[in-house]
Amino acid sequence: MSVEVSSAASGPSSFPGLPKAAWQDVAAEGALSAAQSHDVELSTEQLRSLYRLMALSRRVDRQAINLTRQGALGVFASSHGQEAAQVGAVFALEAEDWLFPTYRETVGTFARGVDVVEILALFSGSWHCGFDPYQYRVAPLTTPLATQALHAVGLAMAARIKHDPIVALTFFGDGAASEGDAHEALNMAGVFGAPVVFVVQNNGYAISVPYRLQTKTSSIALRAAGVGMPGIRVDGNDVISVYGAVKTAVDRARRGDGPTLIEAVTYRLEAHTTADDTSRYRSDDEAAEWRVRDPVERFLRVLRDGGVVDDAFVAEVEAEGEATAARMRDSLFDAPAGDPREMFDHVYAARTPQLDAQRALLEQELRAGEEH
Amino acid sequence: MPMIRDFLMPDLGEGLTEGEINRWLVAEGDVVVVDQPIAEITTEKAVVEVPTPFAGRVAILHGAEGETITVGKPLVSIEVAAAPATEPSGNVLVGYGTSESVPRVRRHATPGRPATTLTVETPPASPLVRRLAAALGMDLGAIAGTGPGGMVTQADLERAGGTAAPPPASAIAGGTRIPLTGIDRISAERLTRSHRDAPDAAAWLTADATRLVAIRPELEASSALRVTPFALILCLCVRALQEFPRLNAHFDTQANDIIIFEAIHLGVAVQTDRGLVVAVIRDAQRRSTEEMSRELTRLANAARDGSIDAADLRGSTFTVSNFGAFGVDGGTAIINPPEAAILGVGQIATRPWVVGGAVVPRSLVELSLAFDHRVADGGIAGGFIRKVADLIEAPDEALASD
Ligand SMILES: Cc1ncc(C[n+]2csc(CCOP(=O)(O)OP(=O)(O)O)c2C)c(N)n1
Ligand SMILES: [Mg+2]
Repeated sequence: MSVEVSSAASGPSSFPGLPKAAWQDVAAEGALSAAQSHDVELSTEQLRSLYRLMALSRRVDRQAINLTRQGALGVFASSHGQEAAQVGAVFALEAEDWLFPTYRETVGTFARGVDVVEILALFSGSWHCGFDPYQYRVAPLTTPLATQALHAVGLAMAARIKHDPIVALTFFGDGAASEGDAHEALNMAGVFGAPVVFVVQNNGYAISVPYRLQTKTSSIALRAAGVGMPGIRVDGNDVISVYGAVKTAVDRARRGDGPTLIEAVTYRLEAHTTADDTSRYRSDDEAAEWRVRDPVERFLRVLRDGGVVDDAFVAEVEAEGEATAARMRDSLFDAPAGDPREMFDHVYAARTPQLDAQRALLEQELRAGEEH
Repeated sequence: MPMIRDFLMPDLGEGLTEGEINRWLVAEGDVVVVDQPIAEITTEKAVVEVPTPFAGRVAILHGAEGETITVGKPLVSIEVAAAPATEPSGNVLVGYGTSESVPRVRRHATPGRPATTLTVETPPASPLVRRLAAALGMDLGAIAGTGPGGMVTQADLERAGGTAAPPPASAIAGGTRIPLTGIDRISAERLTRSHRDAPDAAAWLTADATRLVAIRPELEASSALRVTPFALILCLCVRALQEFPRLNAHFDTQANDIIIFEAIHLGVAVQTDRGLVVAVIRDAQRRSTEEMSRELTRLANAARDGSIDAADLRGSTFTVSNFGAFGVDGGTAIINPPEAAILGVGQIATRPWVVGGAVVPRSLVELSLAFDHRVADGGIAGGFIRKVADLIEAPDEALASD
């Protein structure tokens, strides 16, 4: 029967009055508008703060790489080149808002005010995240891709229910955008109008996998249309644009007008982590093109031209960077290792029998190690 | 008061055990500042410039360029200006404050002693213990585990006589390390798999190829094509395989099944600049002598100049290795997994041979067959290689009927 129908389909209709089929087409690819200009309110003081945070971020990032190469950290994922995207976004948050970062956002987390030495505990192999999430309203840096996006949506929905006017900002990467968790988080936030700002740092790569292997579309921001929220694509190396876009989204979320998806287009100038070699999958020429668009230098030029900063201020920030780097060295090089037994103490309020058994086993192993 | 501090070789790539000194960027006696790059280190993952954590004068460079240093061993010793603050140094253990007694998991050496008990199944053990056992060459199944559910613990391992220092990959310092890449790496994996999975046995014999060599010019003349003796042996091998189809097979290790094929896709091992590849002459049973020669030439050329299609390197059912091309008489080839057997063909050389009670010079070729004993018994393997030899000795009919 079905065979007959399909074979008939290739010939003329079986009878003149056969009703026509009808459907609607989605326009080929949701369309991005041309770039629009927007006024951004930033005081001289705020502009200087932004620069200070970006320049310190750059220095802190370099020191973390050095400490990894000296054996003090196990691994580190550099933010070099992504300072504008991270610092600009975080700068748009209020103290009561929450930040949900990934392993990539050490400098975004630093810009939020978390002590850099505490942030790096994660990379030194500690079992805990190094800082008190409630103190800073920053969730632990997550490594399982996109999981933090769901956490952000959950927290934001809970806040709505409690009439708490806060906003949750979550970062994720172009690679993480392909994860089921990212889709679920976006969809859920769209459906429930959760006060979340999703900031995708499209830095061109997921380890060695280039953007074109993540999506057939030209922009991750286009996905916003599919989940019913506004989408923004912004130059992630321009801190003023990033701040402006994220501030707009944060204000919208706080007003109760729901989530926004922002794609900040940037580039990972360093390797994926200190354990990666970029020469295996990308050309130096490509990186050189992006070095020209260095977000820190670019912002400094704007501020100098505008007379917002002078040499004395730049030197002051540089000195603060050196002092911070020295403190990182003093605190992290040769730091004592933690007591591994402690990892069992904070999983549940009361330890379960399974945890007790595992702890006993570890005890026994530690003793065996010491006896010899 | 000056003192010496050792900068230990760091793990530069999340779980590496060593690094090779590619280049020193400082010399003994140089004054260095903190974070100054002192060496370029090559690891399995990348080449990395390593910065010194100490400022001072370089006292000792612990190794020459090209030498490999184990993670945790001194890389460079630096004479620092002042003694560091006494412990605890004020280094704050994040989230904990300074702590004086920090237990660490340590591994220790006790003299080796062979394990005695044997059980069939591998008991549970943590990844650390499994890795340790593997490094020590200890069989976890032979160790009585005292952990929950019979889990083998590190303490059990030590009780069983495990010494904790894993043996070095090579006891000789220095030397040139050549990382396996590309084709070499793939063949290394295949060869290892073959050796591990296939219980192989071998059979060999010498065949008199005088007649084969003699009729070659005729065949060349009639086909206007260069016909090598090896191409002719391939044709004859196909004939023999048709008589012994059990060797034209794969062994499915997962299912424990033998899969016998009707079509003969003949793999031919070809040495190229990029390594050893197996080019596949598809449906060899349907090809005439001339077609076989033409295809062999095409594949060998394509393999050597790198233009060969990936499809031409897959799906063989039986492989032939022409080590005669290297001027050797014979050898044992390694089965190309998951195939059942591989035929090795040595060089054809003129040697004394007894014919009709008299010693005469003849063109001889040595054949060897390595076969998976799960697939074939000695009767089949012997019958097959005897058949190839018989065809080589009297090739006219087989080659003419093509
Ligand atoms: C669920 C999950 N899958 C795979 C990984 C392994 N992994 C770690 S980082 C990474 C690449 C992520 O790329 P992207 O989201 O673009 O972030 P970026 O590292 O560029 O900041 C992958 C695949 C992981 N951590 N979690
Ligand atoms: Mg990325």
